[in-house]
Amino acid sequence: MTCADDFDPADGAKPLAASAPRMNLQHRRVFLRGTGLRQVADYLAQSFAALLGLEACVLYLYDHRRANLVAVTSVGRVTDLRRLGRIPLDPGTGLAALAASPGEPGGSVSLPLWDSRRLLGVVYGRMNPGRVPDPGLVNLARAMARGGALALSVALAKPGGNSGVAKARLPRYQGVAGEFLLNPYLTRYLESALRLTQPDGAVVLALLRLAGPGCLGRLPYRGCPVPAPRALGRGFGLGRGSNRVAVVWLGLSRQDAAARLRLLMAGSLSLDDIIGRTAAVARPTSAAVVSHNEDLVGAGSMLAVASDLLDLQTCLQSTRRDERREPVHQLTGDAAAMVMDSHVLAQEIDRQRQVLQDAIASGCDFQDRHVREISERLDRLIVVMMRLMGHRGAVP
Amino acid sequence: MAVVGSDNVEASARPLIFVVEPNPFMAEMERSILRSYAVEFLSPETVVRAAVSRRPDLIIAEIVLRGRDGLALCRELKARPETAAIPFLVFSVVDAAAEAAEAGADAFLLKPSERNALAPEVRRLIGPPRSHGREATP
Repeated sequence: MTCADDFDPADGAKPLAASAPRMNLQHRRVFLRGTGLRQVADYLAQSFAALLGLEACVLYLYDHRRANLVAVTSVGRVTDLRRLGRIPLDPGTGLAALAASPGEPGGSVSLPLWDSRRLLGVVYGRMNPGRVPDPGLVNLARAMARGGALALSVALAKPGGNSGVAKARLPRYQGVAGEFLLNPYLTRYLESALRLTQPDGAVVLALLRLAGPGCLGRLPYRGCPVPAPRALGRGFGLGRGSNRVAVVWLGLSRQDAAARLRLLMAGSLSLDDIIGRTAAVARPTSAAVVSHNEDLVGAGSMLAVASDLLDLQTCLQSTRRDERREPVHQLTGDAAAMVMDSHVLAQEIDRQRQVLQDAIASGCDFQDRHVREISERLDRLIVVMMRLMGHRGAVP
Repeated sequence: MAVVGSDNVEASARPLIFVVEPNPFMAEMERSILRSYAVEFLSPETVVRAAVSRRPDLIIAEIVLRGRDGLALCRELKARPETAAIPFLVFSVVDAAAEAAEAGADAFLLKPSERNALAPEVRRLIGPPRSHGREATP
């Protein structure tokens, strides 16, 4: 796979703006108008299944905060593109051009939130105006999926209607339209990291969710992360808006990386020390760490799990803010819990289990709203753990 | 369920499992784990009527449900002669094995965090997907 030809630093930092007539890379958008989320999710899942020759495709659609799942859909193999129910999006050429290539039998893969943007661009033929749809991405996804199942995470950049919709639960999202916001650089970044590392060397990937304005880090050049002077690792920020994500490749063991990140979250270490060349006002609000060989093997799995963990951490932090009114459900508030990895996840599952048991022991019945909320949260934690174990091969 | 025609043998030979699971994340995970079976997700309100009319091979339910809890669901299904023989597996985040047994459940599983136990338990209750009794008529 070559991933250097279509590199464009501005692309990773801005939402797509495909419907704009000008071919400005910084303002390409894919707008979804007058279409329900279910239709959008179904269409995308069908498109990807056909495009990549997959047996199945599961698509997770998140809200613009990239924290709340608003739709899940899955499809089996779709071999006839004419059967795809088109939705009123601007037509692209990438789908028809690439769909003829058959998939190979094999396993499954999950692509994380930000990486899916490239696939979206391929589907609509809009990733790089004037160039052919990105064959590198298609080859990568096909190679990773090997014709098995593909799980995609896609985010809505902005919910349609008023902002209150974003806080609503799943049913109220029906009929909402918005634009997708995804970023293409994670896969190529991590592929580079894995390529440049000895087979038994440590590759620790950290995803940081940032608050505050300002760009940080150096963008990768031709798919390779740029080292920053005096920094512990290499990394760059994705986007400039709130809740943007920074990707950091740390040349440390997982334990050491987690320890440094905890110092960072506690304010004892600056972001500049970690990643270099940062804007001082940018600060991390949550972090997720995964380790190659220790946690997982393979770029796709690492990205998928790191993305899961970061979304989970964001969700937990949001819950913690909400729960200040209800101390019985209060989550761990120390800095250690703000860095999510497989160990913290396991501890959090145990802790939430105990909170649930305590609530029931205190007299709450199974219909109680608090019990249901804890149960939903626990379910989500368990699903991420099971998905992680699935990437390890421990879950069928 | 009698099936005519060999084309339908494989699909109908797969055991039918009804799942009552309120969480979409978990539902998707269960669908993935049980992909070798014919799995249908139902609400607590519809599962009883569906079980009476279609006689699934297994019912899996969470305890914490909106409307009525999984244990009440289990009690009702076990009290009905048409559905009493259908194995009922409680698959829950709540550690309530004793309550599940008291409600008549055939098995209880705490939703796992370290390893998957669902598929083996389903196999134990109703057998592997391919060797099940829902066969085509000769």
